[in-house]
Amino acid sequence: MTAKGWWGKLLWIDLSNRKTKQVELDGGMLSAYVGGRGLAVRLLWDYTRPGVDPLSPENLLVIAIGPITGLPGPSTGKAVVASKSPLTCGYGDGNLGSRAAVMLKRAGFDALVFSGRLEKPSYVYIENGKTDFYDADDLWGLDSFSAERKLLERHGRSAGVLVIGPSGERKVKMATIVSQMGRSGGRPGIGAVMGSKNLKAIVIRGAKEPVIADLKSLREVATRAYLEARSKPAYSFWVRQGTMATIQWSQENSVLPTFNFSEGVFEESSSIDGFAMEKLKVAQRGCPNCNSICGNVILDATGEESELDYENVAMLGSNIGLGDLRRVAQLNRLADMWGIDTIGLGSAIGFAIEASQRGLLGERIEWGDFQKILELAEDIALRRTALGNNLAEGLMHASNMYKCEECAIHVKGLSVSAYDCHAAPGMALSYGVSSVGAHHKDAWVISWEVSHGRFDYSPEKARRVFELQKIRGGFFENLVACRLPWVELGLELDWYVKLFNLSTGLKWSLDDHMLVAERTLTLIRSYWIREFYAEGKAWSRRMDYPPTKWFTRPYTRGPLKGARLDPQKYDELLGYYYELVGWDHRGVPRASTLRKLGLNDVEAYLGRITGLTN
Amino acid sequence: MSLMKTGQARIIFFGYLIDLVKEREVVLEITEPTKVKDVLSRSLSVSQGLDVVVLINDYPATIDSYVKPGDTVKILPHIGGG
Repeated sequence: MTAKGWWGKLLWIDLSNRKTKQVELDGGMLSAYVGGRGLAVRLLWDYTRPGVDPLSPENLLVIAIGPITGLPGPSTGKAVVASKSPLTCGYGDGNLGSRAAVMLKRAGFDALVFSGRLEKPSYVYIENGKTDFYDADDLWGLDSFSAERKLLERHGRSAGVLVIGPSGERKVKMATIVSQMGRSGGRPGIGAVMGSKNLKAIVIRGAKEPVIADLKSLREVATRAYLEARSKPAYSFWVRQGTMATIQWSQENSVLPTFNFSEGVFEESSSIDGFAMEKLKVAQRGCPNCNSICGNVILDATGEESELDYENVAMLGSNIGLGDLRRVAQLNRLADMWGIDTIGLGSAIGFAIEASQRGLLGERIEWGDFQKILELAEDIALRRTALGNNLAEGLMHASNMYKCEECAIHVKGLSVSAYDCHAAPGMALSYGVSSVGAHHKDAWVISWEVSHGRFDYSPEKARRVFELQKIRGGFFENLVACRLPWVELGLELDWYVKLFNLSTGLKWSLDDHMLVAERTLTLIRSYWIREFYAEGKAWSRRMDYPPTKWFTRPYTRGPLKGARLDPQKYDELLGYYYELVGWDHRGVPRASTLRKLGLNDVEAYLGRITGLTN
Repeated sequence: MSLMKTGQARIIFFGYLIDLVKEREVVLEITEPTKVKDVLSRSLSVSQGLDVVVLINDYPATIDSYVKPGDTVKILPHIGGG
């Protein structure tokens, strides 16, 4: 029997046969994985064939929400999009704030699973329990903003829409899923998976009311939580600058990615920071159910609105030597319209500029050369030219093609998000062991690290990374709530535990959620190993190493000139982490760890393919 | 840019801390090496428990590091970074 808060069912949509079925999710499954990321990885483990081609009809696309999604409560309007990644060939996901998350809740499902492939480009319309398939002849080829506008005109402005742009259609391996003209998720190519299924968009409407254990109390607690968030000392500044404040913070702490992660400081940083943004700001946007909205909108170099945040501006600004915020905003807007990961795009452009300056491309591109960068961005997003096409395949592919490992700033194929780690071993570890490849989502340890033994490789750093992974990559991703009110404003985690309990009627502690988080993270690691073995690739601890450049090329400027990572000490730090999380020297979960987490079937499978230590 | 005299230290605040202390920058008299946390609590009425990132002359430091005359101290909040 399913507790309250969840619907206890998912909608399985077989695109090849245009058929749907409702699949029951029993209470055991939901309490073991909660929702969002946890539910998604369990479904992928159970229902995808090991070694499945990520862009084949056999692969699954999962859209998952959680037991507090769409209910009153700070930042509960998000969904997880997940699949086997075409970029990394491991587990891939992302989350995005969208009305589609709220509408999915009201449509009566905890998740959507898409299998197969549509015969021709189409979109799916879900209204409560009913699903229709529509041709997308007039949408295919449109950018994500134009396509969403058309869909909202057709289905009503309150509909939730998840859509891909031209990059997803072309199966660019860093294509994302976009919503509300600026919200994107699924950096590891989840938009390409959607494109491979000929699925242009998912439109959701719902009017059902989920059964909540104690709705009256939940509303009261939610109201108090909103007020608490507003009362925090950081609130006013956060609403003014949002994540854009991090540009200045990163510059001061010498971690602002500059010139393809070669340096940690950028001479023109004050031209692209939060204060520069405040002078140009024309609007502010946020996700559903959020009172701490952080989407800052400026007019870009062409006069169009562009919604900025730190990662986008750092990767399309300092990382490629561009110090003009309106031009950065133009690249950012175009990336969202094409439906391509802004972080991945900035990293691909950085790769190309550095490779060109090493004489590897046959032409030279200068840092900050906007016209050439703009052209290159379009070449990547639309797979034009040989260079654009190679970069659209991802950094590992480009690294092999152009023989420049140092130019490729990634972990497991996913580009590093916007924190340079020449002088941040803990953050380097965080990237190294992140669930999806190099991403800041799981363990943004750098803020703690810069004030706790910045240059140390101590076991304490491994402990902190694991603790943050469980909170950020587990607790928040499984509930599918935004972590920012907690991490930026200091809104206590207990608020979310209360909302969960009032929604479901369960009496869980934070420790109960941490156990689910650990199970989720361990299952994700197991999925990576399963897929690598199935594809005949070797798995080793080298998979958890950060980019080569951070070891080999020290900073040449700034207060921390000369800083670089020490490979031997990093390996020791990685060893501390493995010990802590219960993985062996290869980074493979131990049999005892899997048993402790109730993953006995996973233990049996991994035992067969790789042998497990106890 | 403030011009410091001998025996002074410059303290610069960042992010929401500017709202909290209502100053972007202050110059303080420092006669002898003094811990950052003591400078913050004694001279600026900032609470002892404030959890911040500290840079002294752009180099990583902590609230237990010593400020000397002539130093520039940067005080940044912890942030989450998106």
